[in-house]
Amino acid sequence: MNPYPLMQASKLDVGYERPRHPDRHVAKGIEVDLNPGDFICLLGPNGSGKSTLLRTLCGLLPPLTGEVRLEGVLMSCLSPRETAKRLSMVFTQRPAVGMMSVADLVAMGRYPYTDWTGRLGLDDKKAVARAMADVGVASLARRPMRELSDGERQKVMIARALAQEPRIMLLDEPTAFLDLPRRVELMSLLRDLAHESGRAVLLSTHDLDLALRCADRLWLLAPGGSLTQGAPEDMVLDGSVERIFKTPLAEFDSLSGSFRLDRPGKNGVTVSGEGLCKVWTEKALTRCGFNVRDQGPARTVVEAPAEPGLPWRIRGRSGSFPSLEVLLACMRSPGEFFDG
Amino acid sequence: MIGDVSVTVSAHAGIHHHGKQRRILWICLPMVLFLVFALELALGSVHIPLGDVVSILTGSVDVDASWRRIVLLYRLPRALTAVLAGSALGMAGLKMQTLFRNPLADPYVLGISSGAHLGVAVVVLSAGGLGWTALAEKAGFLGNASMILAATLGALGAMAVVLAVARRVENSLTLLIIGIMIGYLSSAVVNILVQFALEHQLQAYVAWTFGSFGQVTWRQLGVFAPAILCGLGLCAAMTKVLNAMLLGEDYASSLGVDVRRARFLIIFGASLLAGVVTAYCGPVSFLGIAVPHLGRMLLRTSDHRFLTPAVILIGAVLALSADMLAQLPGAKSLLPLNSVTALIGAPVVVWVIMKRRQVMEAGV
Repeated sequence: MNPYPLMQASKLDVGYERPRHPDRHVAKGIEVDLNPGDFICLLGPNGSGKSTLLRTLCGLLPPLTGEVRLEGVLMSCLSPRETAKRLSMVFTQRPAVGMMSVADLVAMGRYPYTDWTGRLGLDDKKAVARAMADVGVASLARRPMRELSDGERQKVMIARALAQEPRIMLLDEPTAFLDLPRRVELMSLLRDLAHESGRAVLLSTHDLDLALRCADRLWLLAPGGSLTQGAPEDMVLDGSVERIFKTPLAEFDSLSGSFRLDRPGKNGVTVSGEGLCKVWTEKALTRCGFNVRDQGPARTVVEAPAEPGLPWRIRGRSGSFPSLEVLLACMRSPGEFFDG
Repeated sequence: MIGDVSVTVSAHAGIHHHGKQRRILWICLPMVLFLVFALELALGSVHIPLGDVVSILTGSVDVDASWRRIVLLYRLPRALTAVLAGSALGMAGLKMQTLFRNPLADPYVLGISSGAHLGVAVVVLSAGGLGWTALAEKAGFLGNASMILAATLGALGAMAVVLAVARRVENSLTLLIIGIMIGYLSSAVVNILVQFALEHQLQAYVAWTFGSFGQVTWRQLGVFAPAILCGLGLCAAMTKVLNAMLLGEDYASSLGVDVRRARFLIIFGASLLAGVVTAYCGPVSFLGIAVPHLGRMLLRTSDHRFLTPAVILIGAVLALSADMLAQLPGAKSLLPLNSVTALIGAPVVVWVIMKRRQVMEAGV
């Protein structure tokens, strides 16, 4: 076993060299490493330098200072081909290769292993088939890329990165164009790839919620360019997540691990009842600016039905409401329950 | 999800599902090329029956001596020039379209032909002013050695600028802009020269801009052919790199391509091809942009391992066909080659594009 981490960055400053100007430092003093089985999410607000850091770690951008080592070897000492055998990358931009079949695209991952003609040997074909099977796109093998949905396309790009048989996979916002179920699916796929095959997977994402739920570690990149890391839960508890993402209009709710859309209003409401209907009634009232409390001197008590389909009531008033929409419309009308 | 997936290679077998159509194409294309080549030797202002053409080529002496001279001294070098030039332009166009991932790129996009234009314009148009009148008049349009030299120097100049920049910049788009600027600068200087040129000088210059495969002698083929073959060989050796470049420079780099070196070699190969063709045949237009598209449409692939031979064959066929039409049997004078390439080529490309809407993606 190689005693070195798969990747180790020390005293790394990333950014851009500018002729006749001071270099533009995006992030400074980064000390990180990647070990077999790591599934790490890189988070940071827009413009904090996530992509720049990833591009530096994969060797596309030279570090301003510091060094990146792959299994103990300085990356700058490795040939592009040797680097490509250890590390593969999935970028945000989508290559326009509409005519290419899925299998052909995945086979591109064999580039560092084939000779100058690019002919695939038996091992290469096996690696391509295995990569497609692992990601679940084997059934798409013959389809041209242009016929795929965003989710399928992203999986194919991951299969291509896998066919490269790397120890490390870096992905720049792989979930960016996907809907929520597809995002969850992709994250769990990537986590499995890391945990079950001993690869290290590092991905950048804006999906804080999902990252908190599935990453082994978080790397948080603050706008000033400093990186803090730790287990997701630790980072919530010590306030790092809130510190980095907080804006005047979006507050981090440490209890739910997500951002509040609205600040609670001054109109107190209590919801009685239990189960699913109570939960969603509270959500609806919060969304509309009511301050939902469990108990206390609330002026109004909304009685949630026992199961969906039954009507809502307001304690002390006659009449019922067939849906939350009707209930909300009534409660929001001026002079009723809403003090403006 | 991962585990002992039974690895099947059959999943990969679908890659060549257009195999049958392709096999037909690989048989047809060389046959068409052979046919067009034979017709090019037979047709022209003097019609020579195909049978006699064959016996002339096989060295038979009992054919009319003037026919032998026509075929061996004029038509054969002309046909060979057309084959080489067509292949070269198609190949150079393919490389430029892949490098810039732009379906509108052609071999001249980096200013190679603009440089050649400038070189020829300087020699032809300023000949009077520089006291070269005698030389230029004596050389005329047919004694084209000075034109070739001028065009070569011009193309080399443009190529040197572009290659010097290519070694330094990160972004291919910068190169594209520099190529276009070279074009503007050259045409500005050319226009100034035109303004002060004499009429017969202008005529010689304009005739050069029409393009022609008929000016290359056997002796010149001795330089032209090896240069083109070297360029084509360099291209053929780079099919794997070109395929990786289809994914964009970031992906190519992450796959282990030394992008800067690859770009330098791609540009060097394409410039060599475009520059040599321009020097010997004038700025033959259109083939360079159309041939790669036709190749992609016929093969339905953007894989350079298949496109490279296809583009070489299609380029040769189109160049020969255009040259034949330019010297229509019975017509007394020649049509400008560039007009013919565009007149037959443009409708073909439009038709192909209308038929298959993803042509733009095919280009990248």
